[in-house]
Amino acid sequence: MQHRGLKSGDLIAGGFFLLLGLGAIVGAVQLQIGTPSEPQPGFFPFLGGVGLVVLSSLLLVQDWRGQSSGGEPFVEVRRPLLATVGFVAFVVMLDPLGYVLATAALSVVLLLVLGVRLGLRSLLPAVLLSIGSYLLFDRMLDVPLPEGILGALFGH
Amino acid sequence: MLENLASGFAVALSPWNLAYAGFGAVLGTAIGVLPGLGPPATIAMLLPLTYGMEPVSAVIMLAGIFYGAMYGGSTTSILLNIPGEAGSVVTCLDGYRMTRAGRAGAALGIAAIGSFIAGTLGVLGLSLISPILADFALRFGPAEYFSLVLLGLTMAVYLSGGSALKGLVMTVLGLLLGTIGLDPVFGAERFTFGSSNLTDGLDFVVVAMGLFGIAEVLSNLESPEQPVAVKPGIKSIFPTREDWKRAWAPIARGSFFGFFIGILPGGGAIISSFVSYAVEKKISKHPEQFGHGAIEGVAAPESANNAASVSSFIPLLTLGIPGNASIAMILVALMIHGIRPGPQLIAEHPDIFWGAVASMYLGNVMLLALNLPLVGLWVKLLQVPYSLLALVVVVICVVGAYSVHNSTFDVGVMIGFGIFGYLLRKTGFPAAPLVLAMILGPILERSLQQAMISSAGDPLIFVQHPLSAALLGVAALVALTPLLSLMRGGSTKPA
Repeated sequence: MQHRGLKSGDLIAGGFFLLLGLGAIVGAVQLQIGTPSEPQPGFFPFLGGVGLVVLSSLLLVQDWRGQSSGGEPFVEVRRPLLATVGFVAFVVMLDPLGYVLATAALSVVLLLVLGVRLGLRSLLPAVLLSIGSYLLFDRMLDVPLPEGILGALFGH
Repeated sequence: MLENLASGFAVALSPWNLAYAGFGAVLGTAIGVLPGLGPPATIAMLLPLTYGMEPVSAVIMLAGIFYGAMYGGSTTSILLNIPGEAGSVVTCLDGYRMTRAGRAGAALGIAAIGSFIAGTLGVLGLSLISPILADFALRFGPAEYFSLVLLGLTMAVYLSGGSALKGLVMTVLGLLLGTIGLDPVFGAERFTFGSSNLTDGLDFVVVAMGLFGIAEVLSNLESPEQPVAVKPGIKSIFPTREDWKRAWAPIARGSFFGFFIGILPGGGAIISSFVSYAVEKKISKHPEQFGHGAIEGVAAPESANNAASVSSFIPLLTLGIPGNASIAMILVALMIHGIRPGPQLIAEHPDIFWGAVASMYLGNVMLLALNLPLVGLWVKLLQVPYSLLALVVVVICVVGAYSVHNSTFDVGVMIGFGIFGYLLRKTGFPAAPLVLAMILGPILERSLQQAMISSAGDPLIFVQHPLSAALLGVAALVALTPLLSLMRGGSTKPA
């Protein structure tokens, strides 16, 4: 399957993994590689780094020759992108806002992304799910979840 | 052996373990029916739940999910032409044609009965072969282990389909990710960048929930929800005498191929179902019926994927080497309890091995009872809106990741791997080899170091030991085939 998006995907991925491999080699050298008879902590990561460099170079060569090696075309970029932004914001806000508020907000975002309209049909499940899961996990199953500003308000 | 099996049944028949097996079977069937959620994601999400369980109960429940999904997967394939599970892709071909010809009941019936026969035969094979294989593997030294792990990783890449080169990239990346944290031999901090959050390394559960759970949600967001139209009216779920006459041999052959392909790392449900379908089509007296509702085309692959899902436990329980992502998570569930599966497992923890085996016999009976009469109920599950399912997956992943160390850092890592996993899917990089390598990396590193130290740095040790040399030879053969074809400018896609 020849697809423009996929080919550039291989190029970016190959470059990314090449850099990662070089990074691993640098890190391994700093850790001391040692010798085969006396391997040091960097020995195994060094081999891995070299492997990653070689394999990603092969991938780049393959891409340069114009051989795409699979992948799915993007059907829609907007929705996953919006969800990704929502997920990242969720991680940032989880501690300050607390589990209940952050999860409710993330649920609303995901439901909107999935095409549910803003209103009772998206707000109600979001609120029920976040409060319900909080009660289930934090209160019943002893999985302490971040309290955030609600915790401060209610004096926990 | 019968004595051991009897004690295994004593373990598996305890009320709690029966309940866990039943729960696993029900949940497995459910996620098998639902196309948007697979066994690796489900097992990853339930892993934190197993921390507080007995190790044998954890294995019983997680195994139930794994083989239960194979039963459920066929239902969606047959009724809706949508594979509920990757192992049921090929079942769509003839299964859906049978549905359109008004024979959905017979297709569902033969799939469930074939699954039951194959699953049970698979467990029988598992209980016969495992002790022998484990006994043999007791003689393995570091060199043999190194070569064996290398072979396992290579086969997992090559057999799982797609680009072998990309699979190898993922394997090496997984090995490197596995080195993050304290080095097992010297205690030196590696790639932690001074963060105390990384001293223990990346938590496997957190990575797996991201790569399988969150990534799956992200990629399902792409296509808007399509309401599923289910036509009820399944008449008899019992195949006719004529169906039986045509299906019994394919079930037997499917069980056989499934069992042996399932043992190979990366083999498993997908390949075995395709292979057994191809075999049936080839030897059939009327190959033209395949693709037009031949019952053999349902019986063989559905038997094969079940036999394979059972036999893929063999390398885990006898060698400590998981062959796919789901089995790797069952390995983690054991390791969390301080149990390191390997050749000693059967001797040192007979309750776990024989308990798990016995629970699989029971689980297959439960699944037959769950699937045949209740098929209409499972189909109703498809009416649950995906939005709700996605939210539940996200919430469970978030809580699960947070619970590992009670830290937001892990939630961030999980989300990060979720986004990474989504991009990997889009660019055609398989996630399973990464997960396997991350788990097997420490074993590979330790056996490499031990072997190198014992040989005073001579890498020839790996070829001087005959068994190690043989294992490496097979690995090289498997690995070099795609690379050679790449150099010749051919396609790197295995068939």
